Amino acid sequence: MPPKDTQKDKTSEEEEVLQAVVLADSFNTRFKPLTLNTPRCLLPICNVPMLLWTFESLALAGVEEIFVFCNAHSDQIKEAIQTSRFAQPAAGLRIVPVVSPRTMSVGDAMRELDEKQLISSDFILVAGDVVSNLQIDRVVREHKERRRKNKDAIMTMVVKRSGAFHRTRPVGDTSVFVLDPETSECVHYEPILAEPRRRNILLPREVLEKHAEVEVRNDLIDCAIDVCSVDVPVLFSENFDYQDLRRDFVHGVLTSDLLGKSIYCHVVEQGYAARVRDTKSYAAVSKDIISRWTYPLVPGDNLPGGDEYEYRRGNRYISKDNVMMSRTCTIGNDTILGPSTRIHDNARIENSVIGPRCSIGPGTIIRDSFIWNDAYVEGSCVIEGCIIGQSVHIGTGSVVRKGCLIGDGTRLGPKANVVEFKRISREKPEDEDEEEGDEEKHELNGLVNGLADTVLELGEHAEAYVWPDTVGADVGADGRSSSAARDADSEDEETEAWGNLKHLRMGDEGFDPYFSDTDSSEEEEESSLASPASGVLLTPGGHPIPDFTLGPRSSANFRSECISSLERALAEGHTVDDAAIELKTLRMASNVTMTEVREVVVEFVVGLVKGDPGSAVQKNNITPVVERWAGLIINLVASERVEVLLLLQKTCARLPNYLSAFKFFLYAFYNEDIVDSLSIRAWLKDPRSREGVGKASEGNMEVCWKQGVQTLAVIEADEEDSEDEDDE
Amino acid sequence: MLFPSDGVISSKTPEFHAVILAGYGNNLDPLVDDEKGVHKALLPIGNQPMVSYALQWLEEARVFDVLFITPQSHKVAIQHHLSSQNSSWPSLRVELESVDDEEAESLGAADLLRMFADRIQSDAIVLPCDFVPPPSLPLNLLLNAHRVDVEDPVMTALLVETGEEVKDGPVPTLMGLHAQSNTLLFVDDNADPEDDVALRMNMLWRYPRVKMTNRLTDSHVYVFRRSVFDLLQQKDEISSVREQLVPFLCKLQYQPRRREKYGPIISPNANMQELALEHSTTYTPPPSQRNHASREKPIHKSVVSTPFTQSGASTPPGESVPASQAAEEPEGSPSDYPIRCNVVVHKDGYAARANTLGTYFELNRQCLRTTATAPVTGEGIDGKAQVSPDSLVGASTRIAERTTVKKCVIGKHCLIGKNVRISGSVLMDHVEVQDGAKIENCIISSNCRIGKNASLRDCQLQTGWVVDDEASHKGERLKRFEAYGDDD
Repeated sequence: MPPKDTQKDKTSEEEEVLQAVVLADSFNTRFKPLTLNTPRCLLPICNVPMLLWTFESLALAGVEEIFVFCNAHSDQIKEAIQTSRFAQPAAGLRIVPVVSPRTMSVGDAMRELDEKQLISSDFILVAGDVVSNLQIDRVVREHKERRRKNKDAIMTMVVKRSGAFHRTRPVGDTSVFVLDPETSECVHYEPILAEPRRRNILLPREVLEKHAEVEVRNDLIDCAIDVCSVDVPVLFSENFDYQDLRRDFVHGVLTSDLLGKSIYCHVVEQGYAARVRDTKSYAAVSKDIISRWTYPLVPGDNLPGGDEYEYRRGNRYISKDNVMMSRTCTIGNDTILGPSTRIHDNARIENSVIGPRCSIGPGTIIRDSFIWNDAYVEGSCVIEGCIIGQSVHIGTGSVVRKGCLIGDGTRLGPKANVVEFKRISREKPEDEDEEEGDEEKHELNGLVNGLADTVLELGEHAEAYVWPDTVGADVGADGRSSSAARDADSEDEETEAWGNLKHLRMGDEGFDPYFSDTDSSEEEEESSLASPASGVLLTPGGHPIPDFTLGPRSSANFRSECISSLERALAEGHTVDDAAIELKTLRMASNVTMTEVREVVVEFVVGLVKGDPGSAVQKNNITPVVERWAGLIINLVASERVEVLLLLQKTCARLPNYLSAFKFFLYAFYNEDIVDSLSIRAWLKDPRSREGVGKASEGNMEVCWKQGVQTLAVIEADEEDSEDEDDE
Repeated sequence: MLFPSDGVISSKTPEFHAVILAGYGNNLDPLVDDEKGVHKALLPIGNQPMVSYALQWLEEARVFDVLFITPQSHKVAIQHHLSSQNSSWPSLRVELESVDDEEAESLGAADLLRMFADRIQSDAIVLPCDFVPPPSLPLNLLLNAHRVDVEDPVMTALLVETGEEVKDGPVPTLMGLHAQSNTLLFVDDNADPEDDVALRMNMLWRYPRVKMTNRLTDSHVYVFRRSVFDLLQQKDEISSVREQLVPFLCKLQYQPRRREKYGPIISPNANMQELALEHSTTYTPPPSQRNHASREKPIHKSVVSTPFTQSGASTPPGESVPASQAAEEPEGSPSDYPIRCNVVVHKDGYAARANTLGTYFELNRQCLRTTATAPVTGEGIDGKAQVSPDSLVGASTRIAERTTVKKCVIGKHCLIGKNVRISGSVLMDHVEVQDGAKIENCIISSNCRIGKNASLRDCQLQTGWVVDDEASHKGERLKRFEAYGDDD
């Protein structure tokens, strides 16, 4: 580049305003039902809405202009922005809310960004629920430096070094980065989920050819902070199917040969950054804030919300504003008490965050929980490891176990007993149909059977609905209509699948990817007959989740439908191609294997041949029948010729009428090029061709096999003859 | 000190037993010629048979017990060499063992080790006869790495960083290392360039930071724990050390089930410390809640520095409940048998196996670089001949007048005529070069004769080859016709 240009670049860079784009929506529903009335980014973490933490981090990085993409509850977000101190002129920040009700994914937001042309230069892209004390401006400088040398370095992802099992790195939603240690270029990206469990990751060899040394890192926390160049939104527009920033975009860019773009990582060794991805990381990030890893952004110092706290020994933070604590209450370590909160006699609070204006009744025990503003907990309750939403009322003597999420305004109790990992809201869950609504009434009156040994009880005056365990995986994200959300979510079904999500719940600890390794295929070298791991998943409580497989019923259905469709084809004289398509559709619809289809077809074709066993009529009938259906069989068989021979053998062995006709079938198959002499020989060698299907037919299999040997001899003689002819 | 209860450490058992494996050297064609008794182990590098480097290396590290395994047909020649030269290594106790030639062709290194396992009573150093270590790499460096490691590695491998590409040199394999603890994790056993490299997630959970590198070559020098031989007895399908045994040991590190199965063989005394503690009078048994997980041995935690120790700065010291659980879970979980494959990465100084023509040639050159500094003079060298100081000339070699020799290794009893130019070449013993010949970048085996005014460039000559007068060869391998059948 000529020096003149560089000069120009520099001057323009100085004038440039550092811009940031905040994605206020998370595009998933992991916090439901807490997010029914509040957008995710406004949920409080340590009594401050997450969005403010994000703004604070950006302000720290010297960002001057922030675009906030909001979708669900945009009016609330707007209001929150206006009332925050960042909106004041002195803050030096310009925050622009961008309402885009159409966006269903990060990809949509980026396309909209490209459409609106809001961005003029490199920008910071963050999620609306990031807590960080990093100096992102350094990353931005590094990114610009790199970009000056290499125009194709379009993005820098900020990742933080930790351990593989760090608490803010939930195993259900994490990723492996492969980096070039010298340039810290990200050469490969692999998302890792808890379910389905991955045994291997595949590293393309081309990557290793280009880079003599790479580092595979499973110890990085993805901070969800990216420095992007203006090309990034453009690329999203060009590739309209990109939805997720990591799984689609990063993966797509890295694997594409055409784009020629590269993505870099900035590995943070010091400082803190984490994203609240789910309830589990919500708990983890809260603990991190309480233990002051986010310094200077900690309560009692520079808490983004502006509330004043008194910092006491053992990481206890008591609001300076009108907190009433009984003399006999016990406040344990790592606890935050919000303003105007009242703690009554003998209450015990450990390891928890209590929001503003809460009231904790006498003798109540609260452990490892997060209680948001205006909650009213009466006396003698036990609350462990859960999140309790705004204005929740919990009656006397209630017990709430770990992992529960209690939605805003819910009333429970008295004497409610909420078992582990329940989600309860005041509103009816959207997906419930009437039937379950009735059930709900029972619940209101008293009991409903949850798990076998524990009884879920909501209490006499409860105003609450219990959500079924799996709902939420596909109900609308952050309060959007469910049908629209489904379309968007179909792309990332796997991350939002229940099997995976359950590991992301607060309090869940039943997963250890290394030692829960149950698959027997490890012993692959010892035994080739490794059976796949059993399909039954265990919930943390040890109760198997029933496995929904299609039973034998559907297979029988398929059989009859298949035969009737073939008969129709025969009667109406369809071409074999049409019949093949029909079969394929049938196969898809009833989810059966190819082998089954072949079985039915071979049996059908054999059955078409009429005539007495061993008679000349039967023999003469074979050739036209096979000729007619050869196309279909070839279509189905593809390369698995041995397989079809085995099927033919089994069919003939089972049906005594056709036992002696086997050799004619074989010969006809050979003539129609369904099989060749090589595959016949392979079939004869195949051990399965000599073992019986059932005891009665064992002899028949043998008979068929012998016929096969004879036929092969004939065929080979034919072939030799023709070859000889060719030679002459 | 804790001694195993059953065995007594006798002063007669050496700490290490060396096993030198000598093969045929198929890649050194046409230099080796088994019919004429030119065997790989005895090919000269810098005018010394290559095996002497390995022997000397062992002796310097005070490893005196050597088991030398050769094919039957090589035995006599090597026996002869060892006994005649034995004065050079008076302290070594070399036992020469041979394998039947037909078997030797089909047997892998691991098969040989299994065959002679009963001869080895202590940890073993397995090395090929063709390894030439640079002076910057004493064997003790490797042995100490094996000795001092608290985790008692099951294997210590020597890897060499490939510097500038040597033509015809070894192809580097893809390897995965945990650089922080020098652990070998992954050896690419699948050379198919089409396939992607599959990395076990298990490995990545156990060792979250893996360095995959193409820059390292396996020197085939390993230190094995004695119990590896027991493992070999048990798993008789392992035939090759590099392709099967080493990857297998690597996998044991992160595959818990396999480790459960083979761990008792590899580390039979894994719970020695616990045993000792149980005999202690002041020992209190662990609280009963620990008993439910017998795999978690709290004692081992102090010994095993697991990579899970949260290296990230973000674990708070005063851990809250969920965090401590998250941290403790993996830490307690390595089972009874800590298995680790240690590696030593050698960086500076050329170290290689002389198993291809390229490395053989390069090693000769390296010898010149390190040994010769003074100008070469000798009885047989004519005053008017020019021999550059970076050359080696063997005893009783005669170089006639007006001949120039540059950067060459010239063996014993050679006869070099007038006006000859030799540069960058290796001449073995008893080579006769007649007047006016030009030799550049060649390897000339013993007893060759180069005719008058012949010109050779980039050639390799088989033993006893005769180049005619005025002949000119460039980039050729000159060998007897009938030998072509053996080509590789």
